[in-house]
Formats: sequence, structure tokens, C-alpha cells
Amino acid sequence: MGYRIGIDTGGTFTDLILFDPDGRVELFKTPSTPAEPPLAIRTGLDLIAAQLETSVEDLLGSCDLVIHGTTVALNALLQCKGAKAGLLCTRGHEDSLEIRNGHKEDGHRYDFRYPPAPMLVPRRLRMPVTERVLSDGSVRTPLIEADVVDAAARFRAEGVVAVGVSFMWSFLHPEHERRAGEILAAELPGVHVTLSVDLLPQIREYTRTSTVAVNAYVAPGLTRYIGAIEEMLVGLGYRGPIRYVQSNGGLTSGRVLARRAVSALNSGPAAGPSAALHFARALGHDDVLTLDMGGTSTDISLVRGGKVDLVKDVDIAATASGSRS
Amino acid sequence: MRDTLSLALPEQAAACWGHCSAVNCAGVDPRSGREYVHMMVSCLMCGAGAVGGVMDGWHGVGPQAGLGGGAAGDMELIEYQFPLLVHRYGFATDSANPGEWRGGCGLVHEVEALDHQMTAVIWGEGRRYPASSVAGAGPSAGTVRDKVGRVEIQRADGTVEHVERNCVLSLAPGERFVTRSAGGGGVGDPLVRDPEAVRADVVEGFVSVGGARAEYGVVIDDRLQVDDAGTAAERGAR
Repeated sequence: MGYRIGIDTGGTFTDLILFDPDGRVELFKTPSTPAEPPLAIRTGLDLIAAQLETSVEDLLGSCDLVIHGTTVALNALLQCKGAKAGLLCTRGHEDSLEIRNGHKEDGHRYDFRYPPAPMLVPRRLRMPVTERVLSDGSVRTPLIEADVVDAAARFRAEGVVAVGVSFMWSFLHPEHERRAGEILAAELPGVHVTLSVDLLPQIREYTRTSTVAVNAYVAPGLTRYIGAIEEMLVGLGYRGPIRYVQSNGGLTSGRVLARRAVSALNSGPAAGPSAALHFARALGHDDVLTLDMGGTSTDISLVRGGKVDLVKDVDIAATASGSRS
Repeated sequence: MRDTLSLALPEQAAACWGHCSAVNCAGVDPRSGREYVHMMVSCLMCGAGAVGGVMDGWHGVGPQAGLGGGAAGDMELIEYQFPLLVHRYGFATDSANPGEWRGGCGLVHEVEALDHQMTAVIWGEGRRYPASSVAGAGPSAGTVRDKVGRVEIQRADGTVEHVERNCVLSLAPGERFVTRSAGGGGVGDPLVRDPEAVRADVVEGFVSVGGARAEYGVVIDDRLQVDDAGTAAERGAR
């Protein structure tokens, strides 16, 4: 067995954790480089190599596994620095992303100065498509393909780099979204397409549409980021797997994460509760309050009976992000 | 009271939100054979009032009575629970009252009675007078109808009934009701609103090209750019 390296890129610091073949754990810390995140990881690898009195290439050559948690998707959302995205909606429902639930957030109801939610996809890029599926899954109005072609022309003219598709009741009849996805792929080569039937095939139009919009908004940046990390590690001679932490604490490959970018939103913070539970168990505890204080945010979670509480739908930056239940 | 406070403290002026105008529906759900009654809270979402010096009004939030405390409900959950088909739930262009800070847009809600005879209870207020604006804002002549709450019934024979008073009506299967909720009030003279802000509203479809000219004195050309000379002439003539 070789080395294992964990990398956690936060807003302030990038932490690297080295597990050596004898099971020893060592921590390394370096300032994050948000403009070009791989730089900080490279610096961290240099620190490890220096301590082991070896080269980065030899270190990675004897490494079995790299696990990475990142806030790059979350920060794009929080700082409104995502991609220029478009949305295809069932005609008549283009505004559900902006209406949300017609609500103001708890605690701000009587605050006249509370600002509206930032719009990840502005109204001019939320395009209607004639089609309709009913609540029993039957087709009331077949898909008008010309509407998708027209929308694609608008997206092309506007320089859209990611498109989300969320039709009413699509999870009961995915064919309309799938066909729209094929047309978009043909009309807009290279554009990132998110279908709601792939990402979140379940009831609640607003939550599903909003989750699709978030995914379209953060996916291009996350895809570039994953590409840069993997190119750097492979360039330095690493041949093992690279796994990414998802919001639910589980691991996945970069290829899968790039398609389901929304599940990377809490990639960094999600590892905290799992780690805390690991150490608490070693001390004989099952009920734990975990606290993960970083430079940008502090994350708190409850572990009860050895299980981390998972929330399926969360609002981040006043925008709903759901996950499959 | 808000109008009065806005007169006393003009630097903190805040305009009125749209009032409640809505449709409740009832009938026998043909899928289950059981009676249903549904208060369509989603009809109540309206344009919020502008807040002078801070922001334009929120679109489609609501209403005056709840200040954003209500929740519209998800359109799929509504169709799952009740024999209704929501054809449209979106912003109504030109429904916001203009101002240096404009109100928010109201919503168009078009709903079909699916496979059953529906009883529609039309209730609410604010179908004659728009949400009040302050400090020189407000709709120009002839546009009030776009700003107030409205209810229409689309009959099977193609006729459209405009409902002004609260009443109880019956809809045959396939007939539809359409509610247009009121836009929010504006703050300040619309003729001094930044022409680029008016242009942005036109690009996003909150204000029409015609509305930009009639209500803000801003001329938008075919490329959706501000016609500076035309705007100066239009505003100078008022």
C-alpha cells in the first residue's frame, strides 16, 4: 500500500492530509489561490515532498488515492460568478425560477429593504417550449421541436455556455426533455446541457427547475476546475484514481461530478461531519455536534445515533437546490 | 398609512403592494369522485411596492396583506392535488406602476377546469384602483387597466367574460379562468428614471417598448438600445 492524499480547498486555506503506508497522518496547510486553485494544491504537494525529502513526482508515483473536497462550485454560486446559462421551460412556466414560492425568506418578511434573489438565469434567457405532460404522465400537447431550435438560436446569439431543461411533469414522461436535449446538442455543440430528468426526476416544478438552473450555472466552471486539477496531477505522474467529495459526504469521479455539479455545492463542508463521526466513534460517542470553522464560513451539523442528518432540499443564495430523495 | 408616512419621510418613501384579487375553486375531482375546495393562494402573488433610493419592487411576491409571508404553492403539487391544469403562471408585462423606482410586476395565472364542472369563487379587491404610488410616481392616463387586479373567464364558445365584482360562477370542463394580479406602486417621477434601467426592463420583458415611451418617456430603438435624442425630445415635451 502506498500513500493517500486528501486535499480540501477552502476559501482561505487549502489543507492537504497525508496518510503514509504505516497509517500515520500528517497535515499541511497553504493559503488558497482562488484565481487559480491548482496553484495552492501544487504548493501543498511541494510541502509534503519537501518533508519526505523526495520529489513531487516520486510522491505521486507512490500514491494510491487522492480525495478532493472543493468549494469552487459553492463560491461561484455565492459570489454570482457562474456561467452564462439559459433555460428551456414548458410554455407559460418560464418565470417559476424567479417567482420561487412567492415568498420572502424567514426573518425578512417585514424588511422593506431585503433584496430579491439574484437571478442565475435572467428572464430573456428563459425560453418557452410548447409541450405539455399532465399529472398522470399522459401527453396533452406534443413537443414542438421548432421552439427548441428557436431557443437555441437565441442562446447562440447571446453566448450562452450552459442550458438547463425543465418541463412540467417531465419525470413521468422524459421523452420531451430527452428530445430537446438531442436538439440542443446538435444546435449548440460544446454547450453544457442539464436535463431535469437526469438531475432530479421528482415532483415540485420550482425546486426541480431551480436545481437545474444551479447546475447549469456552476457546471462549466467546475468542469474547467476538475480538468485543471486532473491535468496537473497526471502531468506530475499520478496514475491512481482521483475522487471528489459530494454534498452527501459520498465520493465520486470527476467525470460524474462535472455532470452533476450541483452535488458538489457542499463538497468541502460535507466531509466535516463524516470525519467528526469517525473520531467520535473511536471515543465511544454516537451523538455528536460537529463544528467546522473555516475562513469563509462555519458549518455545524448534528450526528444522532451515529447517523449524519441529511437535508434533501436547501436554499443557497436564495435559490433552491434539491437532491434525490 | 404608508402613503402618509412617505409624505412625512420622503427619503424613506415606500409604495403600496398589489391588493388581493383571486379565484377559489371547488367541485368533484373526476379522478377520485371526491369533493375538493382549493383556495388558490398562487393568485395572490402580486407586484411589490418600490422602495425609494433602495430598489424597485419585487415581481410576483405577496401580497399586501402578507408582505411575502404567503407561499404560492408549487404548480405541480396543485395539479397533483386538484383537477386543474395551469396553462400559465408568469409575469404580466407593463403591470408594474412606473416611477423613478418602479413597482414589481403582477402575475398572469391561467387555469383550466380539467374534466369536471368547476365552481369558481371570485373574491378580493383592487380591480378599479391600482396600488398607490408616491412622490410623483403612478400610471399614466389610459394604463390603469394594466395595473389593477383582473379576472377573466374563457368560455368554451370562445367568449371572454370580464368579471368586475366578487361572485360565484360555474365553469364547464375545459373552460378557464385567468387572474391578473396587481402591479406594485412606484416611487418618484418616472420621467427621471435612468433610461438604461428602463431599457433593461424592456430587454427582460417587464416593460414593453410602447410602455417605455408612454410611461417613462424613454424611446427604445429596433436594436433595443436607448434612442438618446428621441428620449430627450419625448421627456422634454412632458
